[in-house]
Amino acid sequence: MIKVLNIQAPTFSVTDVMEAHCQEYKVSLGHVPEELAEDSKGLTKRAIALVELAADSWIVTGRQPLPIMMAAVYLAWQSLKPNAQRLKMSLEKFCKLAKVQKSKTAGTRITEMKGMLYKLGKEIPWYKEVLTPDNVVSLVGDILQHRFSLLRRALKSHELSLLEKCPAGQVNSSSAETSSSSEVSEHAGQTPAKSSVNAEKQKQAGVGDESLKSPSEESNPQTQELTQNWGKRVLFAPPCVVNAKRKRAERPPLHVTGDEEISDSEIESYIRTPQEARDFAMMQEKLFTSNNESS
Amino acid sequence: MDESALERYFDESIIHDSNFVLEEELELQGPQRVLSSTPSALRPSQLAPKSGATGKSGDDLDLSFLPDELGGQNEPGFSSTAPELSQDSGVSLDCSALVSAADRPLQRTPAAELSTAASPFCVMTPMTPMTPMTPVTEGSGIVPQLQNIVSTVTLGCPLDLKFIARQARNAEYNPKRFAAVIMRIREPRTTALIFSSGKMVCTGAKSEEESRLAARKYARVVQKLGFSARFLEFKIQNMVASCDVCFPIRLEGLVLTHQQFSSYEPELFPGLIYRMVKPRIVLLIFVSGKVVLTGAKERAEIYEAFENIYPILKGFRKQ
Repeated sequence: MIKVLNIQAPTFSVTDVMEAHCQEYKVSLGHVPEELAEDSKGLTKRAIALVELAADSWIVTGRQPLPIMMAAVYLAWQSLKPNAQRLKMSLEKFCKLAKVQKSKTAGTRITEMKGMLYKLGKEIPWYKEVLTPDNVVSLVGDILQHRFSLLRRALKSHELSLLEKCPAGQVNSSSAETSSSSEVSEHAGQTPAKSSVNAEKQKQAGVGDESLKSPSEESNPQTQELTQNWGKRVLFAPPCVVNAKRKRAERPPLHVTGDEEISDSEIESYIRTPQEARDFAMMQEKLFTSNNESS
Repeated sequence: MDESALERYFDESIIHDSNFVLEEELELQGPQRVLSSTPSALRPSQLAPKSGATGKSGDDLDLSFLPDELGGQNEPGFSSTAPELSQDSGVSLDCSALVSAADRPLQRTPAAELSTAASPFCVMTPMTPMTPMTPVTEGSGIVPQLQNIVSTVTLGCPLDLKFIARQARNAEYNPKRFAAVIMRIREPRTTALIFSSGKMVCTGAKSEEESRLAARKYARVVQKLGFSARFLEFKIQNMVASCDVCFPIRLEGLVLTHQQFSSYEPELFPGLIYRMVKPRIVLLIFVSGKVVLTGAKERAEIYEAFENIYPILKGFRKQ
């Protein structure tokens, strides 16, 4: 169809649509009390940053964009002024406040994003209290500001934890780690433009993921169970991999040539006996007549 | 004496095989330009058949298995095949790999014979030591598993569907909903749609042989019910396979670089739909790394399609 009309469907990313989406949320000073109000520009900026972070940690790929945008705006709004009132407000109430229709899966996205922020927030050195995915919202500002170095640290500590679990030959991992960290530092130095940020962060995440996987893959090459859930070994993986549903029992493969003998008894088992056929016909008649009577 | 003759026989048969393989590849890749190397190859090849022929006849080898065209091909066919042959080094390298695989201790005359006999297909100067070449790309090591095969067969006689539904235990027939009998068998676990025209569709088998066996069983059931059913024109219409590359894939990146083949609309479907041109297979690629391949009429198409897509996906992982 595209060829016939000679057009090219533009591929767009969630960040392009974000601004328009954020405008829908009526949370500026005119619409809501001052404590709950938020400037649309600041809100958009923070929401876009959150979406970019989510994209790197595989929350965005393959998902419908609207719930992601909604989750990002909600978290951005909460984190810009993380007072008790805002933090207590649920997504539903927020959507009512902003006069936006809530989407069901936005709640799941919020949980996923909080999990991702928690992984990064853990690496903040100056936060002395116990961090849980719930109280991570107050740290979002700091996380976004230092996201590159936090990502680097998170990858390093994840690798260390993996090393503790399986202390097999890790020469490869250290070399991969240094290459990834050098890339990260290189990118952290630049002042990122919007599109380049995406590309850089994708690169980092990709390299980071790869460096994480290579040590664990090398140490457990044969175990099928581990390879089946490689998502659990990597720091960031698509949620569908991490929460892999159990596969249904597969049929054992039949080794047939296609030209075998087919036994008569087997075929006969599929055919009704004459008595059975008569009974079935009688039953059908009865059902048919009773149906007619009732209707 | 016997040993060298035996070696030459083996080499002949290897070249014979490589001829067939290479001819196929040639057809696919099409005639290419003539490189400067061919004129040099021309002369030795024209000289060689004569020496080769004398060498062969002198040894009293039984060459009746060789096709007649092999000798004749060198001269008249050569100019037309040469352009086709001065092509991808991949082909000539494959040939040399095959040839060197014969494990040649003697390199002089046998090498000349081989290179000249093979020269219609490999642009090589004679007397060059043939070093074994490693394949250019390694295989992925992952084999897609067949999940579903759809096949059709003609039973060749009109059928009374009401009668079949009455007499068969494993049949369901609801003419208001669908104009066919839906029949199932337990082994191999499959479902068939049987139409009143005598045509049948068999789905659910996991291999081509299973599908054929299942279709035959359905035909037998129909036969036993009293119809003069035969088993005509069995054809596999579609094969579906799936596999897992075990790393996440950036679908947004893939759709940017392979725009003309991919379609990725997360609002509609979470996977990327990749329509491969050769072979004509549709792949559904998901962020988890799972890939579904469909649209194949042969198993080889599925394997080929996966081997084509694997390096692309791997490229995305490193980025």
